[in-house]
Amino acid sequence: MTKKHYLTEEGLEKVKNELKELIQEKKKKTKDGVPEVLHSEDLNPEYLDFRQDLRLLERRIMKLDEVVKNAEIIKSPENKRKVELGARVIIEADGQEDQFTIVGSLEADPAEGKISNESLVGRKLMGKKVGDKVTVASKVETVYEIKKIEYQDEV
Amino acid sequence: MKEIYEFITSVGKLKSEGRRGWKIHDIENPETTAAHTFQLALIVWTVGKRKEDFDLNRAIKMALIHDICEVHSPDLTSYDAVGIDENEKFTRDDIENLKPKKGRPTLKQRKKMKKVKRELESEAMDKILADLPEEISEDFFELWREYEKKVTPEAKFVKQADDVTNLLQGMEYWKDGHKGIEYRLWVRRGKEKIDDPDLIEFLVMIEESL
Repeated sequence: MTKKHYLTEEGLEKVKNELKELIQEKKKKTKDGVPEVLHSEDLNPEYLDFRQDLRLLERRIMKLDEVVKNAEIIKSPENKRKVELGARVIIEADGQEDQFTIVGSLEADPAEGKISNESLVGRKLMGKKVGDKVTVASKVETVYEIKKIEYQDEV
Repeated sequence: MKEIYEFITSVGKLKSEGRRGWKIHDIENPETTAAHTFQLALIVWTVGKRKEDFDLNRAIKMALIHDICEVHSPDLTSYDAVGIDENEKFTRDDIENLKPKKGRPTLKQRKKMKKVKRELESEAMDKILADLPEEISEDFFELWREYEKKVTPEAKFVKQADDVTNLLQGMEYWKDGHKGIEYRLWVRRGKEKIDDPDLIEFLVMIEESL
């Protein structure tokens, strides 16, 4: 089964731009055609490098193309009182307040406060509501208290 | 060959400079950027070997070059971000007077730091690669750009493996008696950041060793 890629509109735009750049790059690489040395491929480093570069580039293009084709835009859920993809969650953990936006794995960027729904904390927060206390337990136990849940169309 | 020689000797400086994050914790003879890179490359290689449809060679190369910009750019940490006044404008000129503080940066502080760090690192990368033959510099720059953008599975994996490598070293220092390292915060942060299933498994191993 094909994997769905959950992205915000902004995230999908970013992937599309990256794809566009890679396609341009491929055009640039091939605009002068395959190097002259094509017919003497035996141990010719220039040709082998060219072929390898192109193969990698094509692979990356294919991957991003697959993401764009199977992208599903994250929409605000009907029940906005629960944490779902796209929710901005204000939490308190170890006495400190913090905020995360829960996104799909592709778009996660912890430095920007976007955490993946597949991370240990993201998984636990999904489906919870304000006032819930979520324990991420293992040897170092942390309790996250959900203080506020917001969605883009409410901000 | 002269350009390659100069590049190699330049990057060689990363073998002797202790990482700033450990210096902030008063760790004597701290791990260097080169030592960190060595361990990261091995984590990427060994853990990445489990993955299917994954360009392991590309990921290892990405790990090897991910911090070479530090030859010319400051090794800024999240503690430096905590030192940023989130209500004031923050530019590269403010780096010199930045006083690192322990704790966790706010979202605003993280964003401000990310912007300036990216600008400085991009310039440093241009500088370090400037004289290398084009077929090498283009390759390096492309790998580094991919790593920074974190769009491909390889880049995402290497970035998360980088976080795991830092966590591993931090916890080793903590076990060695450097109790100034806020191990609870570090582990917590790891559980928020890491979503790669193999690296989550590795993270749990680190936690269990504490």
